[in-house]
Order: sequence, then structure tokens, then C-alpha cells
Amino acid sequence: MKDILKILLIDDEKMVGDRLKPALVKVGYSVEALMDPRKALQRIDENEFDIIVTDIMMEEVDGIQILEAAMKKSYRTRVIVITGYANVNLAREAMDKGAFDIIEKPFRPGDLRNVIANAAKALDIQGEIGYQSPAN
Amino acid sequence: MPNTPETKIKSALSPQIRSAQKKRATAVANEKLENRPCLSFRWCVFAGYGLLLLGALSICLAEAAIGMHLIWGNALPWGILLLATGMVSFLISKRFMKRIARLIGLTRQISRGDFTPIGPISKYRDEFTTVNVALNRMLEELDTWHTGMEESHQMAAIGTLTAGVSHEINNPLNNIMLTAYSLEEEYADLSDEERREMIADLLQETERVHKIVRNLQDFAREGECVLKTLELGKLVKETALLVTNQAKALGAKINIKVQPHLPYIRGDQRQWKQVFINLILNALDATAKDGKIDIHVEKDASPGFVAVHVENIGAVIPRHILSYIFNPFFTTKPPGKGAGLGLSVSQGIVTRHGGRIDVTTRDGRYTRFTVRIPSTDIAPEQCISRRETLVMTKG
Repeated sequence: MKDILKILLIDDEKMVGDRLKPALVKVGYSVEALMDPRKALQRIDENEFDIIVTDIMMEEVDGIQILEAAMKKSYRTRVIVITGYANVNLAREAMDKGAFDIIEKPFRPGDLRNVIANAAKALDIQGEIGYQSPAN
Repeated sequence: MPNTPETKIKSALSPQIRSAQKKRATAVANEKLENRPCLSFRWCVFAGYGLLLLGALSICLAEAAIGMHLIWGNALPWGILLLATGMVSFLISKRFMKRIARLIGLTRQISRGDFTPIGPISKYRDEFTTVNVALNRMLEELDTWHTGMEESHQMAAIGTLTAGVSHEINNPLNNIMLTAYSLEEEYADLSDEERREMIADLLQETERVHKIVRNLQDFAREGECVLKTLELGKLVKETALLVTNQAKALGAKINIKVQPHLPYIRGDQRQWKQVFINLILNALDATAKDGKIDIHVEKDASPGFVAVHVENIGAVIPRHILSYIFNPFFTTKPPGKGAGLGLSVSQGIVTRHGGRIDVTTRDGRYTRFTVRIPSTDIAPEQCISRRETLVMTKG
């Protein structure tokens, strides 16, 4: 039986979830999209996600806190950080704390699908869900 | 005993007579007897024991007469001369003091950053005319230097804002990109309603980018219409939008309260934005993580003024540096974080608009910058040309 990759998508911009969720569900992932990072921390505590995609700059709880919580919950989880602008220090901090990759805004749905595919490969379950990277 | 001159002389002479009982002496009485002139012959009035009284001369001179003689004879011309000299020196010193007081006032005006050329200090050509000319030359140079400093500081502020603004622009840009790609990829599978919704999202996000860019342009570019009637509350809110991301990155919150029905202000929108950006960025720099900045826009207690208070809860400026903070190049930030021009430039802008900027700090509680701006009755949309602006600002 194939495992379905469980993805948690966190961005306080509603449109990001609205567009990316269908784009990822279409290729066979199970996606939960949240706008509230505090609710996301709660969900991370309750569940073990394979991949977490989080925006870095959010009010109240930022992406680094999400990353730390995810790493604490499970070493397996791959965290992909989305950032509004390239900040070397922030990128270094995220990578030091165990982020899998960083994606800069603006990006295409295909860019995120590629990074997720790489993360899935790292989780060694890519073959099981039979995902093909789409052409951009 | 009758109070005649003789009895008075006798009583006046008695001490000297007693002390000179056994020797020859000349006794003199110089008592004040009467305050009227007289010259008369008198009998010897007294012969003391053991003394040979040769005679007594009674001389009576009225003191008032001596006084009058002295005054009319010598003192009056000198007195008049002295009075005249005093009056002349008083008038001269008054004239000088008036001009010196004006000069002191002018130095205060200059120190506040108002480099408006000064009018004549004296009515006539004198030493002050030279000072006047020299001061105006200095003011002209200061104005040129200050304008250059403002521009360079503005460039630095733009640099600081760019990071935040690029993030602010990248968010809607990302929404546009994701929506456009989704529309392209899933077009065939989408219902008409879903397509329309996505197109509406595209338009909304494009408008969002446009608004941010326009806001930044207002700050960065000098438009043709410099002096405008402005809505202060709106201006402060727009300015705070430019620094939203700096605040977000720090986890700090900016609360803005605008009193309704505020009078308008008049001025250069770009320059006012620069003042508020400086104040908010400074407040953010001094704010601890998860700190709070309160901005209140309200009518000032002084009639004809509106005030903007930028209050930084928890951050305090040490008292010993309070008097230096408006000085150019004074900074407490680490090297590379600030040139120390923000407050100095802001003070210059505020003063040129006829306003005032003050700071109050309460130990361990808050630091509050207050900008007081003259209000105006001129309705919006009436632009004044750059030329007229210069005339107005330079007095």
C-alpha cells in the first residue's frame, strides 16, 4: 500500500493556501493549509507531518518557531521555508536549525512541487507515491 | 532755659571746656543751630574755670543755602552732563542690546534647522550690516549643505525600506504568480465562477502592488506639486505601511489611533513621510522583540496645531543624552546601523513647516516623540507650484 505524503502548508496570505493546496492535492499529496501559525503549532503537536511548508515572516509566530517545533516533534519531518525576500542571515539560521530548503517569493507552483519532490526523495517514499516532477 | 543760640553754643561747648580745664585751648562748636542765614554780634557767652576766654564768634550759615549754592554753582552742570551721558549710553546700549537679542533669537532659529535668510538687523548701515551679510551667506551655505544631507539621509532611509518593501511587494506578486499559473494549469477543470474568482484575485493583488509602489514613489521622488494640503491621519497610516515588514520581522506591533475630524495640514508629503519613517524606524530599533509602538494623531492642546505622538513602550532614552539626540551625526546605534542624521533631518523639516518636535521619556516606561504641525483651512487639491513653495518656506 502506497503512503500518501502528508503536507502541512502555513502562510498568512490566504491566496497561497487557496492556490497551492489544489495544485499539490492534484499530484497526490494530502495537504492541510493553515493561515494561523499558532493553530499550526497545535497541529504539529498533534500530528506527524512528512513535509511542512511554512512562510517565515508571520505575525505572532514566525517560520523559525514553526521549524523548531517541527524538528522537536519529529526528526523525519522535512521543513521547507518560504521567504518574502532573500536574507542571508535568515536563510543561514533556517538551514542551521534543520530546514530542508528555502524558496523565495514569488515562485511558481511547479517550483514548490519540485522542492517537495526532492524532500520526498529524501524521505525515501517518493517511489511509493509515484510522483513525477511536472515540467515548468 | 530759653533755647537761644547762646545757650545752644554753651551746651555745645561744655564737653570741650570740661576736657580742657587746665590748659589753653580753642574750643569750636560746629553744631547745626538754625537752618537760616544770619550774621550778628553777640556777647561773650561763657568763661570756663581756669580758661581765658578770648571771645566767641557766632557764625550761622544755613545748610540749605550752602546746598543750593553748591548745586547751582558746581553740581548741576556736572549732574546734567552725567545724566546726559547716562541717557546716551542707555540709548546706545539699548539699541545694541536689541540687535544682540535679535541675533541670539536668530541663532536659536538656526540651531532648530530653520535656514530662512534673515531681514536687516539695523535700519541704517552699521557694524550689524556686515554681521547680517555674513550670517545670510552662512545660512545659504547651511541650507545647501542641509539639503544635501537630507537627500543622502533619504537615500539611506530608502535603502532601509527596500528590504521591507520588497517583502511587501513579493507577497502580492507571489499571489499573482500562483494564481496565474493555477489558472493556466487548471483552466479546463475550473468552473466559470472559479475562473472569475481567480481573475478578481489577480486584479486585487495587482492593485496591492500598485499601491505599495505608489507609496514608495511618493517618498522617494520629488513630485511637481510639493506643497499640498494633507490629511495627517492618512499620511501617517500610509507611512506606517512602508515599515510594516520591519515591524513584522521584529515581532513588534504598530498601533495607530487617529482622532476623527482632524484639520488638514499643509506641507511636502514626501518630507512629512520622511519625518514619520525616521521616528518609526528609530522606535523599532529601540523596541524589544514583541514590543509595541503607539502612534496617536490628534488635535494639539495649542490652538491651530495638530500633533502626532510616536510612543515606544518600554524603551527609554538615557537622560544624559536627551539634549544631544537632535544633533547631526549623534547616534547610539552600532557602526553601519545609522549615520545619526534621522532626528536632525526630521527637526529641520518640522521647523521649516512651522512645527516643533519634542521628546519626553519616563524612566523604565516609555519614550515619546511629539511632532506639532500647524493646521490649515485650505481645502485639499489646491496645488502650489515649486516656486511658490520656495518663497513660502524661505520666508
